[in-house]
Amino acid sequence: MLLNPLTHHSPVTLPEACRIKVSLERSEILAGGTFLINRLKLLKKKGLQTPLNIISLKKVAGLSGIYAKEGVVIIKALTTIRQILDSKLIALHLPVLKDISSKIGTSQIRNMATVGGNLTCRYPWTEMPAVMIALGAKLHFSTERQEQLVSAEDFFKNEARSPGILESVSIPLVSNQRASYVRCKKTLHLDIPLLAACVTAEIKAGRFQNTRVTINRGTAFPVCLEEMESLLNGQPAQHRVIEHALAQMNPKTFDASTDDYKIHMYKVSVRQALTDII
Amino acid sequence: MTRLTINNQNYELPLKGHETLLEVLRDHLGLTGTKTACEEAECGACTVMINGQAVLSCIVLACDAEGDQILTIEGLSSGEKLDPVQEAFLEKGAVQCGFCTPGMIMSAKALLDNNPAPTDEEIKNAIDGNICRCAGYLKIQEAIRYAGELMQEKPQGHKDIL
Repeated sequence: MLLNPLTHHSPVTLPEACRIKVSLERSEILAGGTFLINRLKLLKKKGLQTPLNIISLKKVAGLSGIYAKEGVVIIKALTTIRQILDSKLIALHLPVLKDISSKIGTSQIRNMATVGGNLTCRYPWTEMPAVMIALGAKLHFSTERQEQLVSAEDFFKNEARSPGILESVSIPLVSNQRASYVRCKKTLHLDIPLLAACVTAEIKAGRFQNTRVTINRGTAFPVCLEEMESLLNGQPAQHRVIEHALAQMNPKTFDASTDDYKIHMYKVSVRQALTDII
Repeated sequence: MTRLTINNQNYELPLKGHETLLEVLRDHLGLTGTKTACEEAECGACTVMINGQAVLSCIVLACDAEGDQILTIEGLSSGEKLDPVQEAFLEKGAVQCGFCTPGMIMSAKALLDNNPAPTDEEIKNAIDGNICRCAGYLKIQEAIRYAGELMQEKPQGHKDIL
C-alpha cells in the first residue's frame, strides 16, 4: 500500500469544494496530482502525518481552459501544462509561457500537471511563479464566502499561502511586451532548476520601459529585483546598460544566503534574459 | 464502489480511496503488464493512457480515474493480433530485458495516435519520461518511427508486390 488510508472527495462545484475543505480536518486539494501523490508517499515512508481527506477538483466544472477577454488572458487553474503547450492563444500572445512549459517535467508529467498546482504547491523551485510575477499576473481564489484577487508578486511574498482554492490566473496583455526566461539547471539530467530569471519589458524609442526582472531562487520563493528594474527603466536598451546595471547590483540582493557560483549564475541568467529581449 | 473503464471493460471495485491506479491494475485486476519500478513518477515504467494521453499510473488515484477511458498494454493487442507499435518494437529489436517496454509502448502509442509521422525531436520528447537501462534508445526511436509508418500503411523503403 503506497499511501496511508484516506477519503477521496469529488465535489462538482467550487463552492462545494471550498465547503468541504473548511469542514474537514487534514484535507488537501488534488489537482493534477504530480506533486501531491509523491509527497503523500514520502510522508508515509518517513512516518509523518498524512492528510485524511483528499478533495479532487477533477469533476468541478469550468476549471480548465484558456481564453482572452478584454485585454487579459485567463488560464483556469486545472489547465494542464500540455494544454498550455498546445494553445495557439498562448503561442501568439504569451510565448514565454509556452517556452517554460516545454521545460517542465516529462511528457507524462506535462499531460497531468496543472498551472494551479505549479503555482500553489509551495515548492519554491517550480517554473511558473517567476514567470507569472514578471508578467504581472493575478491569482483568483475562491473561498466559501467570497472571491479573492491577489497579485502573483504579493502571493509569493506571502510564501504562497493560499487564501482559498485557486480558480484561475489572469495575465494582462501588454502590446509590444517582450519576455525571456532563462534557467540554469544543476545537472543536465536533473529537471529541477538551480535558478532561473524571467524578464519582461517594453522597448519604447529604444529604451527599457516597465521592466520586470524576476528571479527563481530555487531554495526560496521568487522575487523581483526592483533595484535592477530601476537601473534599467528609461535607459537605452543596450548591452552596456545591462552590464552597468549588473555591476551596480549588490550581489546579496540576488540571494543573501548563497555562494559565489550561484551569484555568478544569477548574473549570467539575468544578462542572457535581458540580451534576449533587446 | 468505484467504476473504472479499462481496456474497454467496465469494472466495479470496492476501493477505499488511497489506492493508486497502478496498485489497482496490478494487485486488484491482475493486469501486471504495467510495471512497478520507481513509484515516484520518474521512470515511466507505469505509463498507461487515460483519455488518449500518456500518464503515470503510480501517481493517479484510482478513484480519480472514474469516468475516464484507461488503456493499458494489455489492451493494445486483439487476441493474437498485435498493435502496430508492438509489432514495430519486435521487428526492430527494440526490446532487451523488456521491463521498460510496456511503458515505452504506451508513450509511443499516445504520440502516434495523434501524430503518426513524428519528427525525431517529437519522438524523443514523447519518451522523455521513459527510462531504459538496456537498449540505448536508438532502436526504440527507430521502432517508433517504423510503427508510424505501419500505422499509415505506407512503410518507407517497401515496395508493393503486385
